[in-house]
Parts: sequence; C-alpha cells; structure tokens
Amino acid sequence: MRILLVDDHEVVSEGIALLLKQIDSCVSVFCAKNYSKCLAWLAREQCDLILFDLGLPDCVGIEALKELKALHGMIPVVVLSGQDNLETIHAALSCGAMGFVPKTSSSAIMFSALQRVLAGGVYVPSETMQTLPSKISEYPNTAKSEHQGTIACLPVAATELGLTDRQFDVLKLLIKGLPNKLISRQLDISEATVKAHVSGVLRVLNVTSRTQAVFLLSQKGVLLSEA
Amino acid sequence: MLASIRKRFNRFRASPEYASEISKITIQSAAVQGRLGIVPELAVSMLCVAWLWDSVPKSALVIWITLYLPLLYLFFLGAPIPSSRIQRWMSHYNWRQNDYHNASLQQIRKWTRYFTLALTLGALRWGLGGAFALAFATPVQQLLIPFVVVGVGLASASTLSLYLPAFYLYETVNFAPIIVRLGMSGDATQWTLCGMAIVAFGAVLIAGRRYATLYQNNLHTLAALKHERDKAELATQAKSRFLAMASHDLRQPIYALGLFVDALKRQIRAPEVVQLVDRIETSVHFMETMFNDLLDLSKLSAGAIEVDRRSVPLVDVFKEIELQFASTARARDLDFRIRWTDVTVESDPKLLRQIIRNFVSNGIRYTTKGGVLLAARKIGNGKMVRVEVWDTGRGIPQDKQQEVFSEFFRLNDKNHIDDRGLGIGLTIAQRATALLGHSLTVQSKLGIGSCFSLNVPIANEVSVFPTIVANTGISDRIKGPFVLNVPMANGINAFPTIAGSAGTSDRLKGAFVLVVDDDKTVVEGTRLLLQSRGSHVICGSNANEAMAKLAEHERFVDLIITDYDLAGGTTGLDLVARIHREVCEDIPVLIVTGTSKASEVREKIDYQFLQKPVSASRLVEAANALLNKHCISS
Repeated sequence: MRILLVDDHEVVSEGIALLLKQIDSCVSVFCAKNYSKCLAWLAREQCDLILFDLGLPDCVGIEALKELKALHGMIPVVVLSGQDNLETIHAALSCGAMGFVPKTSSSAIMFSALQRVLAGGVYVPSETMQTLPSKISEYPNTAKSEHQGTIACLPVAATELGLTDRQFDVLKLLIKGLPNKLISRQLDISEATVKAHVSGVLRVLNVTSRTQAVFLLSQKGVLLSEA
Repeated sequence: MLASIRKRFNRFRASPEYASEISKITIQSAAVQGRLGIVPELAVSMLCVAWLWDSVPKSALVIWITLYLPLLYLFFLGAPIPSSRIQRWMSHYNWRQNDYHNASLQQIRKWTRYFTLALTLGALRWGLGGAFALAFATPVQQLLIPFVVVGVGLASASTLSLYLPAFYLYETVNFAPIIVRLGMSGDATQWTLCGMAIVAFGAVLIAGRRYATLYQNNLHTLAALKHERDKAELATQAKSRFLAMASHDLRQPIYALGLFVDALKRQIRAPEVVQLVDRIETSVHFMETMFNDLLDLSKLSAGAIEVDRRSVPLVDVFKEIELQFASTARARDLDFRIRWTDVTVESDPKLLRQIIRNFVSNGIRYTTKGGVLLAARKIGNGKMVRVEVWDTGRGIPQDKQQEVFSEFFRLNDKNHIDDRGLGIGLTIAQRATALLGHSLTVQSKLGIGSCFSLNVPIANEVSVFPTIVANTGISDRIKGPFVLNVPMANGINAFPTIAGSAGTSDRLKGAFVLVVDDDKTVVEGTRLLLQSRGSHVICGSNANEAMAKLAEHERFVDLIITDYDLAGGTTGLDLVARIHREVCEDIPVLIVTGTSKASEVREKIDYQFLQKPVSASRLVEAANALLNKHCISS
C-alpha cells in the first residue's frame, strides 16, 4: 500500500510513518512538506491513500482539501489536524475526507485510528459525535473502547447492512469520498442512478448525508469488506 | 506648591517623537485662537476711533485704523485657513495656502514668524496708539485709555498664551509704551494708573505662562498615554503570535515524542528496557499534560477561547470523567463514586468537562485515604444545578481558600505528593467559569476534606416531545428471523442485519422530512413533533432556504410538508415543482395552509391538503398515510 503523508513538521511525519510501518510493514510512506510538493508528487506518482494535514503553510486547509479531491477524486483522503473542533471536522468530512484523526489524540488512539484507516475503514473522533446535534449522538457510543486504546473494527458485508450489492458498491465509493461523477464512471452507470442509489443507501443506514454516514460507520467500527 | 505641581506635571514628559507633534499642535492652536480675535479687534478699534474722534487728530486716527489692514495681510501669510469656503476663494485667486496639518515643524516655524510679527505690530499699534492718544485725550479719556490698552492685553492673554514666545512679545509691546508714557507724566493719578498697569502686566504674564504650562502638560499626558497604548497593543499582538506559535509549532515535537515512545515500546522485549521506556513514557505524558494546561491557561487569559454554548447532558460529562479517573483512583486505593443524574445543562461541553475534570483531579491528587464523590443536585427554584466534587483529603486552610485559585499556587506539602502538576488547574477552572458566566465555590475543613462546586444553569430548551431516536438505529429495523448479533471482543454489538419491514403504522420512524413555512413557531412545533416520532427533519422558512438545506444532504427527502403561501411570492407548489424537477420526481407532498384561501387552494391542487390549525395527531396520521402509500407503490 502506498501512502502519501502531507505534513509540514518533519518530526511528526517521521513519527506517523513509523507507526504506519509498525501496523503494516508492507506499507510505503512518502512525505510531502507542503501543498505544492504534494500536488507535484501526485502528478508523477500513484498512491492508495493520502494523509493530509490541514495546517500546511502554503494553503488554507479546507480549500486545499476541496481542490485535492477535485483533482484526485479517486484517492481517499484522511485528514490529520491539530484543530479538533466540531466545525473543522464537519467541514473536512463535507469536503469528502474519509476520516479525521486529531493530532491531539494519544498515541494509542492514533495507532488504532491509523490501523482502521489502513484496513479501509473510517475513523472520526467519538468526542465530536456526542456534540452532534443530529441523531447520531444517540447511538450507543464506543467511548469505552477508545479509552482502553482499542477500537474494534469489524468487516461487514452488504447483506448485514441491508443493502443490495450495487448499493454496497456505491457506499464503498461514497465513503472513500468520490464525487458522483467518478462513482458513475467507476461503476459504469448513469449519474442519476448513482444519486438514487446514494439516497437509498443513506435511507437504509437511517442517516441523511454522507458526513453522517461516515460518523455512523466510524462509531460502529465498521469496515466495508472488499467482498 | 508650584514646585509640587510642576513635579507632578513633569512626570508626564512624553518621548521625543511626540515632542515635535506637540509643538505643532501648540502653534496651530495659538494661530487659530489668534484668528478668532480678528473681528473683535476690528470692532474695538472702530469703537475707539469713534470715541476719540473729537479729541485726537482725525488724520492720526484714520492712519491708525488703516494700519490694521496690512497687519491683517501679514497675519494671514502665516495663519491657517479659516474655512473651506475662504480656502476655495483663495485658491481661486491663487493665494498661498498654509496647510498646517501636513506641514513639517520647520515650515510651521516659518509661518509663525509672519503671524508673530503681525501680532507684535498689532500690539505696537495699540500700545503706541494709546500712548499717543494720551496727549490729546480729555481727562476722562485719559483715565480710560490705559484701561482699554490693558484690556486688550488681557483679552489676548487667554488666547495667545498658548504660544509663549508670541505671547511675551505681544504683551510687552502692548504694555510698555503706556507704562512709560504714564510714568513720565508726573501726575499723581497717572502714576497710580501706571502702577496698576505694571501690576496688570505682571499678572498677565504669570497667568499666561501658567495657562500655557497647563495646556502643554495636557498634550504631554495625551502623548504619553498614546505611547503606553501602542506598547500594550504590541504586547497583545506578541502574545497572540506566541499562542499561535505554541499551539502549532511548539506542540509538534512534544507530540512526535509521544509517537516515537509508543513506537519504541512496541519494538522492545527486554524487561529492564521496557521499564526504562515506561518511565520515559510517564515523563512525556506529564510534559504533554502540563504543556496543554499552560496552553489552555494562555488561551483563556488572552480571551482566545470561543464559547460554544449548547445543551449538555451531565451524564455524558460524568461518563467521560469516570473513564478518565476510575483507574487512577483505583491505583491509589481511593473510592471514586459518582451520583448519576439525568439533568441537562446549558454550557460549553469542553469547558465544563475541563472544570469538573480539574476538580476531580485535584481531589484525587490530594487525598490519601477515603475517596472522591462527584454529584449534582438542583438548587434554587429548579433553574440551576450545582455540580459538587467532594473529597476526604487534607483540606485547605481558611486563609488559603481564595489563594488556591492563583496561578502556579500549590499548597505547601510535607508529604511530597509526586504528581502535583503546575498549580494552574484551579486557575483554569476559575477563568473558564468566569467565561461561561457560571459561579464556583469552595468549602473545606482541614483534616476532613473539601468540596468544590460549580453552579450551572439548567437547559431550558427541553424538548416538549422527548426525542426517542435511540430506537431508530439499524438495530431496530430487525424484525423476523434474520437477526445476526455478532458479539465483539468488548461486548459491543456489530451491525445487526435487517430484513423485515417496520410496522406500517409508523412510517415516520427514520423518515427524512422537509418542513417549509414562513412562521417560525409552526416550523419548530412541526419539527419537534416529527422528531419525537423518529424522523430526520430539515426546515426552511422560504423556498431558497429549503433548497439550500436540501443541497447539504445527499439523501432524497421522503416527504415534503409545506405551507401554500411562502415568503417572496412563491407558492408551496412552485417549490414542490422545483424539488420534483431537480431532486427526485415522486416525493409525496403535504400542503398545509391557513383558512383564508382554503377553498380555492383545495380546488387547484391535487396533493394531500390540510387546513391550519393542524392537530398533532392529524398531521402524523396524514404523514404516515402518505409515506405508506408511497412505500407500497415504489
């Protein structure tokens, strides 16, 4: 698995790269120190995941994230940031991020979060879910497990969620942050069909938006299996 | 006394940068004041001429008064422009204009020479004129002419004294001729007058100088204050920069250290090394905690924290605290109890958590045997709740009970408790409490224990209809034999499967509804009602707001409930048509409208239609019916 880590602090990049290697030794980690270097690298090379810091010196975090998703929609992006307030997390997820790992988390949580991300799941800090005005906050939370340092991660198949295969495929791509256009291209269906499927998926999950779906999957510790 | 006043004034000497500015202002004020005197002086001159017309040679009088005009010209060469109208007139005739505001000090000094000259010559005119007139005046006039001259001198004092050089010159030139003339007369009456004139001269000089000093000191004080303010602003900016730097850059190496230590732990096996790394990890943890505390304190002091006020169920906060401190308390063999409560308060969740956390942390830290209790109880008339943290620790002596809140203050400790922290936990709690507008109190008895309490207002927006959404998770769509509960390592249920359909009578559970009405109370009421039935609701007061909200959610709405008349001239039908066009074709619609248009509306539309006021049960019934019909047909 090839990971591009975009962070302006070398020490932190090294620390995270080390953690990633420990989780999975086959991972190759590439580092970029700022946004322009990140774009330049992506123009030449491929990767499977981008870990993106919002506090880069040469751009405005959220705007850069939007641009990044617009240019490279196929690659999932997980945001790292020192700011872990609700607005930032919401904004990051609305822009298509597949997860949010606050830099203020303990190293144990960072480890588990990255573990989940590498396995293809989503991670959102549980603290924010308690303050969400939406209904997600009422779900039984996994705070206990987080404090003990392990977040369970369970692979789940389409039938367990109550989705058709097609819907499941759409969900997987939706969670990765792909815009509708790319999903339609990937699955070879029309954009209108994609929209209808997305709506259906969200209805089954009992949420109303992609952001909420991400929160839900993170909270339940769900991994969409590549069956 | 003068000396003490002078000393007090001298304290406010401003720095050199301001000195030239002050000079400019002084001169300008003097010039402006001088300008004010032009008309009165002319008036008085003419009156004098009229008064002395019969006694003094007319030609002399005429010369005397016409001398006024060149002096006026000379004055204007150096004075600032009176008004913009005259300014335009002067520029029309290409007269030179003196822009005092933008000129340098040297230039202004040049101009002052002109008007000082003008003023001096003017004073000369009065002084010599008066002395000359004495020779021809009648006895009565002879008595009064000195008074007139002295009068003119006194009148100018209050205005000209602002600029001392001009002032001294003016007064001397004004008084001297008359004093000399009177002194040389040899007449007793005139000598008396001379004496009075001398006294007046002295008085005017002293008064003028004092006035000038007062004025100067005002200016100096203002300058000094401005200087201090600029310094304070620079300091604040520096502090903000420090905060920003610390939050971002200084934090990173500390954070990275934690990561490296974690990585190291996972790689080593030898027990002595593990022990060593454990110690390193503890130190790093302390360092991180203390650093975060310092940063929090800085942010609170700098006012850099935004309060995010919302309804916070205390049970959530208590749960977090329990998770955080249960093991620590157990390790120290202390009893950590929580009295659970179902109260919801109005506060900032992060700050509230921090305050209570600091109380509990202190309680545990300073208690060697016994325990800590966290409780909440309603006080007053049910509007407030008091969160209390009791401990059976050493207690705080009476005279230190306010001091414990000071920064970096820690009680003197002979028992050498290891982890004492920096002594800013309570400071942070106090500042945060102040920021939130709550109040906190401490009670303590030496040797028995302490109680820290925080008064928080109860959230008054308690839903009329309790939200029951906990039951609308996927776990509740389980009906039928397809349930699969996979227990996980720590006992959390995975996604249970669904297959069966929910009951037909309650389609509102989990439904996504759009409510549009320009009456806010109607929207709120409908929203609460539907949410109590388990729906997700988005609202808008007009078409554009509704469309904007829809854009934020990728899921299509299951039901649209809208008023017939919306703000901005659009009808509910237009909005519905737009949604059907742009989002999805077959979303069921429920139109609600007031009585005035009921009948005509009923004929026009073929959507389900209800007339206001709508009872809760009717609304729910209609909504369910629509959703049911739609579900069956799709």
